[in-house]
Formats: sequence, C-alpha cells, structure tokens
Amino acid sequence: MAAGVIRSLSQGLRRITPFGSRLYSDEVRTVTLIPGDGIGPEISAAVQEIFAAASAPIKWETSDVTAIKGPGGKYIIPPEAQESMNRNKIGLKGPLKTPVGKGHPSMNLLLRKTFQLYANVRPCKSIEGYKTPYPDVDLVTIRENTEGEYSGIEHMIVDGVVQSIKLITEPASRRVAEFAFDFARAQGRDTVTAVHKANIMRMSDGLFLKCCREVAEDYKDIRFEEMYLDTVCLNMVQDPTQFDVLVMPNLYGDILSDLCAGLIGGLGVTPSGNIGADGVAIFESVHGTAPDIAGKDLANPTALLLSAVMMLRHLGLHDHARRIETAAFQTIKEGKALTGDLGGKAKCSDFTREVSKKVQEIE
Amino acid sequence: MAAVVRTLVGSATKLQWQPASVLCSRAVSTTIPAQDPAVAAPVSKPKGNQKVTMIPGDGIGPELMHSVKEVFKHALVPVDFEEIHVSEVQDWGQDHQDTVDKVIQSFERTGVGLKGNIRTPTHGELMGMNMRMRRRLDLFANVVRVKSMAGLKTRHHNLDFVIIREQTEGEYSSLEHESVEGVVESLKIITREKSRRIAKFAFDYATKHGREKVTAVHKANIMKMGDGMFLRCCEEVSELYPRIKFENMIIDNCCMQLVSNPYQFDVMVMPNLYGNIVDNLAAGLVGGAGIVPGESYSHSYAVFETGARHPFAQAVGRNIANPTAMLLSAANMLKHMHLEYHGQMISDAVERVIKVGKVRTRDMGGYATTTDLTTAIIDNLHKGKYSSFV
Repeated sequence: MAAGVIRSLSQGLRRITPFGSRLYSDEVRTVTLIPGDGIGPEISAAVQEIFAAASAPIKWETSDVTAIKGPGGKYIIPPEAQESMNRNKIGLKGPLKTPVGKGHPSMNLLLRKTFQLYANVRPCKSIEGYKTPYPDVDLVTIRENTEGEYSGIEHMIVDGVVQSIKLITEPASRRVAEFAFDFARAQGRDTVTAVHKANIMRMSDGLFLKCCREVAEDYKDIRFEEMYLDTVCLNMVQDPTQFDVLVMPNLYGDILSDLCAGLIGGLGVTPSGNIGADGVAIFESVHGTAPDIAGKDLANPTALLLSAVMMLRHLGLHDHARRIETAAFQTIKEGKALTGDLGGKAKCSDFTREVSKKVQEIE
Repeated sequence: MAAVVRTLVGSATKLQWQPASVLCSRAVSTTIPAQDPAVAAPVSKPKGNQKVTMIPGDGIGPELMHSVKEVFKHALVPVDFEEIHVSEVQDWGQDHQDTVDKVIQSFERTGVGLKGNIRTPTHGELMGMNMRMRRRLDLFANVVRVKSMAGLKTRHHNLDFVIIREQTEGEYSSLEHESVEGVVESLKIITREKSRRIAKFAFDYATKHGREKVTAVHKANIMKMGDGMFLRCCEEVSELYPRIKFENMIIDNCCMQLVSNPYQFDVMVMPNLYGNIVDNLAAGLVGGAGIVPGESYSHSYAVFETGARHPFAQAVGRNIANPTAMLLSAANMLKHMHLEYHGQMISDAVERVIKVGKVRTRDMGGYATTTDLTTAIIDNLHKGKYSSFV
C-alpha cells in the first residue's frame, strides 16, 4: 500500500514538471493516427488493439497524409490532415512511402517542414530477449532536425567542383539544446553530452557548442559534457553504458542515432519521436514500409508500439506507458510469440494478442 | 586510353602488381608474410642509416615515439629519425618552435614519416595544423587496416577490412563564414578530380592486396550533388576493374551494419567526415585506438600514424598509453621502406605479446604500463625464425 501511495505521489510530481505533461485528469486525449503505407495499417491496428486492452485514455483520429498538389503547384500535406494535427498536437505515424516521380519531395521532409519538427528524439534501450552483442544500452539521442548539413543547399561552382553548405544558426541550436535539457530533467536523466566536431569546423560547430554551453548554465542540476564525434563513436562501440543523453546537429545525429539503433537490434525495434514548434509532437516508427510482407500479417509492431509508449510518456501517462512497455518486453523475453524479424514464426496478430493479454495481467 | 585500360585490366590478375600510372611504387606498401624466403635476414648491412621524419605531436605522441625509438634500437633498425616538433598548443620557445615549412622540407629529404597526433584546439585559425600539413604534402589517401588481434577479447572476432578515406577535402575544407550574426555557413567541397583519385587508389589497393570487394560509403540521398558526384566517380572507376565487386552503402546504414554484421565489409572508400566516423567506429570494434595502425599516402610521400587519431591528453605523463598501434605502424613503415626483415620482426613481436596476453595495458583490460609493454615487446624481438642476424 505504501508503495502504491509513493508511486501515485511520484506520478503526481512528474505531472507537475513543466515539460511533457499535458494531463491533469484522466480525460481522454485525441491523437492523430497516420497509419502509413505497406505494413503501416497492420501495425497501427495492432497498436490500437493493445491500447484498448490497456484501457489507455486515447481516442484515435485517423488521417491520411499523402501529398497533394496545392495551390501554386507545390506539394503539400492535405489541409484536413494539417488541421487534425494542429488541433490534437500529438500524432503517431507509421512508415510512409515516398512516391517515385519527378518533383515529389520526400514525405518525411514535407512533414518536417509543415510542422517545423525541430528535434528528433530516439531513446535506445536494450531489449531483454532480443540478444545483441551490446546488452545494457540505455541512452537517448536528440538530433537537431531542421538545418545543419541537410539544408539542401548545393551548387556546382565550376564543372567538377561541388559545394554543399552546412548551415548552423544560433536560434535553432539554442532551441534544440533547451529541448535536450528539458527532456533530461523531465525523464530524470542526469547527463547531457553535446557531440560536435568543433576542432575541425571551428565556427559552425563552435557556435552550436557555445549555445549548448549557454543553455547548460540554466540547468545546473544536469551535468553537461562535450565530446568529439569520433571519440563518441570510438567509445560507443566499446562501452555504450557511459552515455546518457546526446545532443547534436543534424548529420552527426542521423549517423549516431542509426548507430545506436544498430546496437539494440536495428530499426525494427527502435522508437522515435519528433518535436515541433507550438507543442506539436509526432511519434513514428523509422523502418521502411516493407512492401514484400504487407498485408500478410507478418509485420513486427514493436517499433510503432514503443513509439506509442514514448507518446504516452510525453503526455504524462506514465502508468499506462510502463504497463504496455513491460508487457511488450516480457513477450519478447518469453520468445513464444516472436515475429519473423526477431527470429520467431508467429504472426503479427499472435504477438499483438499475447501483448494485450499480458498488459491486462500487469498491475 | 584503351591501351591504358587494357594494361590495367590485364595486370589485375597478377597479385604482385605495381601500378605505374597514378601511384609511384614507393607510395603503396607491401605486406609480405614471414614464411616468405624474401624475409630472410639481410646478407649485408647498409652503409648508412635511412632517414625518416618523426613528428611526435601532442598528448601521448612523445611517449609513443619513445617506445618506437627503444624498440628500433634493440631491433638494430638502420633508421635515423629527424625529429620535428610542431604544435598548436605547446610552445618550445623562440629557437625551438618548428613550423609546417620545416616539416615539408624534411619530407622532401626523407619521403617517409612517422607521426603522432597534433592536437587541434577549438579556437584559433580555421584550418588546424594536421590539415595544413596534409594539404601541403597532398596526403590524399588515409588507409586504416582493421584487423582483429589474436588474444584480445572483443565482441566481434576475426575482422579484417580496410578503410580508405579521402583526407584533403570534403567537410574539412575549413571554409567557414558568419554571413549574418548568429548564422554560420560551412562549406563542404567535393571535386570530381579528387573523388576519382581516391576511387582509383581504393581499387588499386584492392587489386594489389587481393581483395574482392570495394564499398563506397556516402550520403547521396540527401547531398545529391556532392556525394552524388563522389558516388558516380566511384562507379566510373569501378568499371575499369571488372574483377572487383563494387557496391555502395549509405553512411547511417553502414554504421548500423558495422555494429551488427561487420564481416560483410572488405575495402571501404569514402569522403573525409564519414571516414573519420568509420575509422573510429572500426577501431572500437577491434579493441580501441591503441590497437589499430594507419597510414597516409600521397604521390611522393608516405606518413605512418595510428588509425584512430586522438592526442589522448588525459594519459600524458601517466605511462598508461598503449604503444601497440604506433609500433605496428612503425613496422608497416619499415616494410614500406623495404626493410621487411626488421618490420616483420617487430610486428611478430607485438602480435606475440598480445596473443600471450600476460602484459596488457589498461585499454586492453590489464594493469601494465607503457614501459612494461615496450619491454615485453623488446624481449620478444629476436625470438623469431630468422634471429641469427644480430
């Protein structure tokens, strides 16, 4: 009983923290669900089933974000989808297929530009039951998602010489640094490490580092470290337990977050969230649409499920998040209902049923 | 042009092929196994010693160089070092501070060098000293041979691949400016000429060392023009080498594959920044920055250094650094200078000490000091097959 009292007190305390909590009562939250293409619809259905079994106070509003040609000829997200997201602020997205064709922008890029998703958060935690050479990984990579090397500004100055511009700005660096420290505080993490290459790119990464240092002054309860990108890579593959929260510009973030995903087992089990301006947050699975197994009930919903758990934590529904996550990890650990990519022979629906059963058993 | 292509293709079948066109024979090193009768003890002693430029650098560089000098002394290696002290952070006083010009002059005399890492601080001129030296000597290719060492426990076993990195352009061009306050632009330059050059180097290397596959690592899905051009150059060059398989991989997928299945890689070629990341990642896979040797080549010079280049300032003065990487690199340098006997002796001694495993420095999980490990290697020097030459 004492444990229950302490738990509810600590949950209450967590709800008071400014970042990440939106609920002060058990009201039902509406969330925009974007099933996506390929295996998207199956895994979205699986997540909805598991959430229903856990009695999570979430109402799903499905919408489709296939780009359409807007006024002016440029591709845009359909206005209904934009409206839905701006109203609900929270979204869960399955894998999207970029249509092949001239001028069609990447769907992920379009979403990023439309909702100004400036930070990509990827928590990497080793999954018990899915063995990799790296047990005990527990870190979070936070990547600046709007500028840096991916600005897309390239020119051929002279024939045979191409120049790509990497853009680093103070407001964007400051914004992602503030998010990183807020996140660390809200999730109870104790160290934030800025990853950079300021010894080589002295002005650009130097600016990023300066912003991180200035923001760290306001968060004295969180330890701040800086490390060169190559040192991080070297140490990451030898001992990943020394890292906690990593914050970095775009390109390094892309590479390091995929590296960390590889440590825990690949993109099929890695959750991811994108934070945008005005409180918009879209959680997604980062694997592909897997068209070869689409519609055959063979897909693994773990990545989307863990992203949905991340979403629950963002909303402050820590109890439901904990129950669903524990159920999923226990199912994988038992190994009886694993899908093909995790080394088993079960179907997606078997896995979903098993997780739903467990989530109802867990207190 | 067709004649050149025919010669290249025809010669690719022979294993000991010396490429004549782009690389001069001195700039590509050879590895000869110890059983080869060519590595018997030399029948005559050289008249004078060959000269080698030595740049100790910062951090643990001087300590590692000391190890190298000790081992060379005991192995009776006929080499004299021309030491040049350049640094951005240390100041030896007016008369003793050397400059990059002195380094270039020394290289023009010797042609070969052994280099420690020069620390690049985050302030100062935009281009660090390492980069300035590499640009002026035109050391365009950095080769890191990632090989698991017998006796060291790592998560992956029996790794054996090579990372070739273009190191004079790319993200390290040091062209940065603040156009508006709070907005900094950094230019990444990719040129067709240098991309072709490094691609050709990679395929020549693969041919010479009997490798079967070359993987180009890039991010052409995002940097369509820059990395796209790099990829196209690699594809063009790969058509001249039909016996070598060519594939390409995006850098983030490459990092993921390196930690889950590194056995699929053979020779990898990539631009500057990705090379930095993959070098360090791969060094971590086989045991750390203290294990992996590396070398840099230009048309006329060869510089031997460690694979993962860190000054490791926390270890200065504590005698804990691991000299393995620098000693293996020095052994490679001797083989490059056609002193195969001494080179093989040193690398055999290092491998034996690591395999036996009684003397291990901290990064390998033991408690020995740098001097302990150096002494153990010296003790193992003349125990090889051809130890009658003393």
